[in-house]
Amino acid sequence: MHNAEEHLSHVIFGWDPTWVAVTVLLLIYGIIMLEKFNRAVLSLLGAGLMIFCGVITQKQAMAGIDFNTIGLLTGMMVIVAISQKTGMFQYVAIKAAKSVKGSPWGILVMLSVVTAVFSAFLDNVTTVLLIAPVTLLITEALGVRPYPYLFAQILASNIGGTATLIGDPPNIMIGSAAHLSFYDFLVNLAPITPVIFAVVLLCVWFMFGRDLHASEENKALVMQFNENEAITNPQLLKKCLFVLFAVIAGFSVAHSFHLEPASIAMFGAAVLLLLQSFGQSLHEKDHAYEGVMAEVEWTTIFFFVGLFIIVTGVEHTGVIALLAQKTLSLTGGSMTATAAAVLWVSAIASALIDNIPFVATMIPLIQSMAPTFGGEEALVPLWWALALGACLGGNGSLIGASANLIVAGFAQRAGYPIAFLEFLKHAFALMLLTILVAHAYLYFRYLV
Amino acid sequence: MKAEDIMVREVETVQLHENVGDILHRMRTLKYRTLPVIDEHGRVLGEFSTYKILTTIVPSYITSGDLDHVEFVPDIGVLKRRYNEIASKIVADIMNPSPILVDEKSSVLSVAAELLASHHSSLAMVVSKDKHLKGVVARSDILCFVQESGVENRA
Repeated sequence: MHNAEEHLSHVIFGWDPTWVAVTVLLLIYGIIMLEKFNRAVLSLLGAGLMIFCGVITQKQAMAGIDFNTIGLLTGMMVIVAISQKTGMFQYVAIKAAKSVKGSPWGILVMLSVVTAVFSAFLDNVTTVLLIAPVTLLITEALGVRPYPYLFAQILASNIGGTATLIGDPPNIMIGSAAHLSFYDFLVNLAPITPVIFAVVLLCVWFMFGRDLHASEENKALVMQFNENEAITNPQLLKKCLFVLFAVIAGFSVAHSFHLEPASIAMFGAAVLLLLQSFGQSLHEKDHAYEGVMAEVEWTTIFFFVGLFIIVTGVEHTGVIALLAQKTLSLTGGSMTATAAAVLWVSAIASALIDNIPFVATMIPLIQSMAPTFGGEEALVPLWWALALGACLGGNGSLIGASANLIVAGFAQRAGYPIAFLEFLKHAFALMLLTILVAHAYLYFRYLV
Repeated sequence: MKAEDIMVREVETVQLHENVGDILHRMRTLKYRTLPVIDEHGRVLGEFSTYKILTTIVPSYITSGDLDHVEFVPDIGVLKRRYNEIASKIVADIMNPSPILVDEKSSVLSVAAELLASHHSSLAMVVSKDKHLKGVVARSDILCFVQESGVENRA
């Protein structure tokens, strides 16, 4: 760990580096919460301030950027950008809706399952953006209000995202920092998510499901949706499925070959970029390539870059280690109490603020607890507590996760606005319930 | 050649309080796609168009979402249902408040460019300084002008 005194002389005006770093972090996080400015711009400004104020050097800042997270995110974004054009999501959603013979509750469950499964392997925002329009078309045909469906899909996307290493950005960051593999996530988080999902669906049944009714005529209308028409480009679909399965298989075995997930995602992205326009003219290839690059969410990528630098700055002052010590003195150095604290604090915090900066800050905090618990291996329950808290906590309010905001914005434009308070009323208690289930799981599996 | 030289001066117009369904009937009979919306003093307030009606009744989750096409959707009656919801509304609810406005002295070339730059308006409204409607120019008026005069007159 770096010592505060070591940097003291470099900080401008001889200010205390701890105060400068903490002020920049709180200021930037605070302004991000206001949602008046682009979060990528803010995080890059904060990163610049850390360097200009002399808290860290550019070299230290660069070393603080987790390029495994950046590479994995970018690679998956490229793969998703190409896959979303194939109609694959719409095909699966319609197929699922028809498999339950147009029953309104059955459709709610099936579309939620589809959302959860896609979210576990692909980006949550893309998943909900592609499933939501199909949902609205189906609810229009059924003659039922779309709110329960969209509500269930928001929860499903965050729960599905919890299940795997690549499901949600917090998991990507945690996996990368703690050297936990895709397989580790599959073995430790994937088993509990179906249970949590089932509990949530049961609650949704009592809240909305039992009141959903549709006439036989309208159900028959849903059966007339033609999923085969949704597939726009069967050739491209085959290429996408090939690369997607290869990449997921690659993630599962990566650890044994000492490969990091970012290498696999980026290689998969490059292969799919090559395949997508194979045999076309150079001009067409360039056009297709530019189109995909424009779809990559650079805002998110730059947001991560800035954030990693801000957190590195704060970490260098030793204040995060100090905070970890304080936390440990509160929990008496007990793993059971510390895991519970990490889980619940992460859940509440993630419901209220963006879980990405929160997790970025929590990672070094947990890392600095290693000596107390006897080495890095002993921290594993804390990592699962952080992942479960941060991912599931996103369900607590409409601003808890990006997918929630995307669905809300979409529903607003479609003429079915989701009110902040109505969502909070329904979702916050449900979120606490899922954390309770997660708590029981953590306790019985890792802490007894 | 200026906008005032090629514009159509006899213009069918509508007012804010008129009924959407009635106006649509009138537009179909007269084969108009766009009508200027004016106040009692003849000042332009907006435009009322078949384009705007269509964008209102086609759900935005189809046009602004991430769906490339909706060929997989059967006839779910959504257009008819949504039209019935707006048929009894008034022009003020549906109109586009920012139509293409051009000056009487604007060149025909600039009017043509304005018409092309707009994806949703097919009519340029020629107005005086205080927004009084003097006439309108449609794409066909420009084509009519170029075909008949042969070469664009620079005078």
